[in-house]
Amino acid sequence: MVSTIFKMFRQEEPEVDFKKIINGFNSIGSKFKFTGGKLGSLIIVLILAGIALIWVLSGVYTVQPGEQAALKLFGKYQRVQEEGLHWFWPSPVGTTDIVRVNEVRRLQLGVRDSTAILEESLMITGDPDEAGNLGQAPNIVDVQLLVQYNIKDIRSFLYKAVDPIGQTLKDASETALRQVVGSRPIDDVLTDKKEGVQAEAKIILQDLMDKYETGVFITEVKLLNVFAPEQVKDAFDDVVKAEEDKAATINLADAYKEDILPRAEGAASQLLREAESYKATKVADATGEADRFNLVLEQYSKSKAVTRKRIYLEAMEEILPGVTKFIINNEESSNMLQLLQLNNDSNPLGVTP
Amino acid sequence: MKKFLIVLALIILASFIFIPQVFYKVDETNQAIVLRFGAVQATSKNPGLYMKTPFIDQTVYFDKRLLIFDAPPESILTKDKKRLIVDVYARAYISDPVMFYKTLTSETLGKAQAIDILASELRREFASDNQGEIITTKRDEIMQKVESNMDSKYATFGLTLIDVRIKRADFPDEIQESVYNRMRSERKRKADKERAEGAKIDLQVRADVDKTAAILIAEANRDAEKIKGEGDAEAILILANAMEKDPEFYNFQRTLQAYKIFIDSKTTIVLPAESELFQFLENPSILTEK
Repeated sequence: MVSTIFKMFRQEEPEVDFKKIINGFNSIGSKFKFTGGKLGSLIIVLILAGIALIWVLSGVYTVQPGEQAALKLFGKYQRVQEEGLHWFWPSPVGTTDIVRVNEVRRLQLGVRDSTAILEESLMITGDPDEAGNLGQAPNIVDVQLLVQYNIKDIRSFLYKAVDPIGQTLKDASETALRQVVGSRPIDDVLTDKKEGVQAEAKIILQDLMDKYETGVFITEVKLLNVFAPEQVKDAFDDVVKAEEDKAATINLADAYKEDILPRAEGAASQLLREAESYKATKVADATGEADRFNLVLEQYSKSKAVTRKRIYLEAMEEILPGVTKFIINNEESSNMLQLLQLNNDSNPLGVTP
Repeated sequence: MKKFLIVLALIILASFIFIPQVFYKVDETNQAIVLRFGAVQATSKNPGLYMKTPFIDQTVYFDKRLLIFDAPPESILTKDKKRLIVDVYARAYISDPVMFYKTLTSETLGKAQAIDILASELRREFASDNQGEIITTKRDEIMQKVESNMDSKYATFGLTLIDVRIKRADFPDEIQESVYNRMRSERKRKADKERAEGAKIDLQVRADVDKTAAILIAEANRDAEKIKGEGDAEAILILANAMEKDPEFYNFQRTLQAYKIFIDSKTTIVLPAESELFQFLENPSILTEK
């Protein structure tokens, strides 16, 4: 008989109305008050009433700005309460969970100086081999990640997944990061395409967190530090150094260019100016000579024989004074010349017969 | 007074003993099954306050949330006989608490079983994949295959599989060292290439500069020679124009000029006495005018 009554209540939906229960307790209390009528019972009733009052007052709670409160009555979700002073049934009837939903929270993966959350921050990159097949020549890279997030859905956050911002977020972050890093060559992660890695990891992470109904909203995924592993650091540093060496060499070559070309241009101009000056000099000289000849010729033609004689003699006057001269008669000339040759072999002109 | 106190004590005692026996609470995060002598009486998947038969019925609670099945990192051999240390996890929830209870009894046991299934499925799947595929290209595809294989197995335990993921795929330590060696050689190649490219550009620039400079000078020389030639030609023309007026006189005059230059003090000249210059020396008779 009793079990059938209870069976009636045992359904999918909860059937117990807490208001009835409270009313029941109240009516029990009031019965005592009226039937007992004695001072002792009154005191006990007052004590009980005081306990009840304290219990009821313990249901007062404050929701600060940036917080939300999720209310459960006998384990069943009721509603979300925004900021302000509120009252709700205290335990064990009701449950009030206050969460700082707007607070930006952080999760760091693979951080060294503070607590290392990841035991291992080394991960594989998907470098292609010589033939360009991705993942065939994997490298290892040391990545430290920062994830920032807040709570976008308090109900999912509280009730839907086990450990939403602990194990779940950590697992999902690591999965997302390693998936992205594993699909790219190491240089993408180390240098040029960090932004792309971050954006892709953020999308994957948010998808996972939504799939797991964590109610978490990822605001930022950031690669804090990306290193080559300690064991190969020197080799990576050398590449950076080689790049700088290359730049330096190119700079020196440019410096050489800037040094040599203007000088060559200067030398070329110099050659041209010299040639121009040569030309001008030549022309001027020739013009002068021609003018002189013309002038002389003009006068010469007026009295040719005399002038000719005079010019000749003047020239001889000029030429002959410093010169060693032999004046010979025709008959003796051949002998004399032989004598000359024998006696004076220093004669540079070597006048030969 | 005494009677009242006894009644009160009884009520308090009864409420402490009976209330938990009659009512049971199912939280948002929980689900419960009610057992009577081992037989399932009811399932409560929705949160709220429920009633049961006191003392006879027992409630067993299960988590309703998404559960974490985290397999420990495991060393696996890929199809191309390479070793990888793989860390995977699955996410599933108990969708049929009765079946879960019947097959796995408790959450702890169920978890171990679920992880075993996950690990063995992965080993099986990875044995037919190459290392590169696991690391990069086909990670999603592989996971979907594992997921669909595991789905039915999990269903027999009352579990609904939501997701399977490779959290980590790492090289074992002994392979790591050889990877580092390869990385080092790759970096060296890259560094050498950078330096060689630098040298190439350096040589190219210098050669270009030298070439440009040489051409500049040569062209300037060419132009300069031409200009000089023009000058020479013009000079010749100017002089020739003048000389053409009396070539014989020019010859006479210019020869005398040349004498002045090339006959110097070291020169010895033999002059015949009968030359015109000495006509008066040899033959004074001509002093008298003819």
